[in-house]
Amino acid sequence: MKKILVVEDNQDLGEIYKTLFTANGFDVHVMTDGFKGIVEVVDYKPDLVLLDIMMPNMNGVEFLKTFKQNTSLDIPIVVLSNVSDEEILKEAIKNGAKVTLAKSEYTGKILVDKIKTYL
Amino acid sequence: MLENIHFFGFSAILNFVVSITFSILVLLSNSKSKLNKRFSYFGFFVALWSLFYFFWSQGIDFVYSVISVKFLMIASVFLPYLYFKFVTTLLKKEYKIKNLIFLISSFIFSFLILDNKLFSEYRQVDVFNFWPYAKPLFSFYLIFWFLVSSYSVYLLLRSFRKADAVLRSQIKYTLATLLVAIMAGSTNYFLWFDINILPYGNIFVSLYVIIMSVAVLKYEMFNIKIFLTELFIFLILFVTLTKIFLSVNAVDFYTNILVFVGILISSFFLIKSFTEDQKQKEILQAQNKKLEYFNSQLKTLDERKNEFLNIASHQLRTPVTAIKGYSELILDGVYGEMDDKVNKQVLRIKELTDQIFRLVTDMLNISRIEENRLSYHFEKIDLNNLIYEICKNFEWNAKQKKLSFEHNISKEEFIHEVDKTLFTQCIENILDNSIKYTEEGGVIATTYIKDNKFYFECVDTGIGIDKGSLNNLFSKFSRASNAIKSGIDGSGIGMYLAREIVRVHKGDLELYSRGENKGTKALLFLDLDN
Repeated sequence: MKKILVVEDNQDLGEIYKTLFTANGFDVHVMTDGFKGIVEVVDYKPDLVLLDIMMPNMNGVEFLKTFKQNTSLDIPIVVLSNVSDEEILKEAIKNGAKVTLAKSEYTGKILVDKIKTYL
Repeated sequence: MLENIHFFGFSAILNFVVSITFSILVLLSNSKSKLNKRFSYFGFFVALWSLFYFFWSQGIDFVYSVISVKFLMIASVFLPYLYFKFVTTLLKKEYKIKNLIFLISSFIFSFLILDNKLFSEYRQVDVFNFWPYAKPLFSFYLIFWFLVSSYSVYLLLRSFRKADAVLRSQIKYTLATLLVAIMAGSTNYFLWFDINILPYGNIFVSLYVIIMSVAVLKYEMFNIKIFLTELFIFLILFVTLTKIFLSVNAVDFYTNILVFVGILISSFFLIKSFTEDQKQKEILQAQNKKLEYFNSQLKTLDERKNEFLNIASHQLRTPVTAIKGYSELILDGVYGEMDDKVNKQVLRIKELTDQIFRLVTDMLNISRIEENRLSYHFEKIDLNNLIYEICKNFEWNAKQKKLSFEHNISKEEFIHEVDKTLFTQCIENILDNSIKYTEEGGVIATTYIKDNKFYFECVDTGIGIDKGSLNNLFSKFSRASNAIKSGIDGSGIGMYLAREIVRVHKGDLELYSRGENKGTKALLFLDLDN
């Protein structure tokens, strides 16, 4: 069973992604900020990380930088965010994100299908 | 007496008369204005310098000449300080510490002059009987003069770029004044250092008055136009009145009375019209200032509105994404099977959240367009397929309203470069409008290529557009008056935004309607020439 780590501070969205991916046959862990996410990524060793940008403690871009500098793990990271600031999204890609997706566009089955292409 | 005055004495007395007259006029015209005061103080000191220069240059006796040269030098010491004060007033700035330093330095130099520390010992040079020898400290006086004047020039030049047109001209004239004063006055200093050049430049000192007069007349620098006119008229009246009393016979007497009365009446009307003109001008200027103020207020409000739109739309997205996410999970049966009735309502929740998304995205894009922040990511896409997929998503909306929805989208692949997200938003806005404003009948969407243009046409049998509103529909937050009357919700930004986006795609969006309740045709086209 493929493992997905969701790093998302909004509890509703965390719950939705957990339910959605579990229903589609994935094992899902949800962390509510970037810092907890970094700790979990080492312990849980997921096959893919679904990462929000605007989060307390450690935001998505800081997560990507820390992940790149401190681990040698080869895990695809997909940014899923409603941030529309081009500069932030470019920085995320520069720091190792596979792709940046808009939360509002990628929901339900469309999101699951998209994520499968990175596994 | 007059025949004893040499050229340098004459130039000094000319400078004195011109400077004192102009300074008094400037001060009297508006004694409350700081700018007028500062300029007249500067002028008074130029006059003082000129007066003592005259006394000294005449060289009648030693004590008289020594006292005069000391006073003329003291007047000269204060000139750069007074010029600095005038410049800072013109630029509406205050430099308290520098002001104090310059003033104290001017006093120190004055004491040094009185105490014979700057110059002493006198000799005869040409027509000047008592020309002093400079002492080493004299160079410090020159340096002080140069530094303070240069600082004023620096302040003027620094403010020049940001100044409005009127202030710019005033700065130019103020700079020219100093330049003339320095060039004319500097011819005095050669003899101090035993260079045999006489102070012929002094005659040009009065030029600064002429320069300032131009500034007064052209740019109303000291607002003395009315005062000068009145003064001139009173002078004429005074002369003509005097002529009455000097009449030599009865005919002359009556003629002079007639001339006086004539001038008196015309003067009255002249001053009246001039004053009225001035008042009108002042009112206009005040209104202009008000307009400028309101304009800047409006700009600030507009910026705040955009900021609000930006924040509001961002903040709205997350909860709406969650609502959509939950409804999709329910519809997918993740939380268990639901009966059809519940499913139908949840589907409606999902559709409504899509509507909110469109609205939020529209608002966000509007604020981006207005701040020139909307960026486009063009990619090659099959337009027919994209539009077909969008139409499929709207089938449910039409079905809910019991409307027919026919989409004759060409099956042929048509690859074209568009920003997928933004172009989708355009098509969605058009379809959403057609279905929303149609209560009976239906909607037909078609794509075709004609005259090297790609067309997307959407025709409905809806409420149409009243003639008065047709031209305004592409304005921001504008809705047709019959659409408002119908009670159907709408933001009035969909069409505005769609057209803005299509235009960036080298195309356009047009709306046609034969009137109220006669349906609407939306025609979107992309130019394929490029």
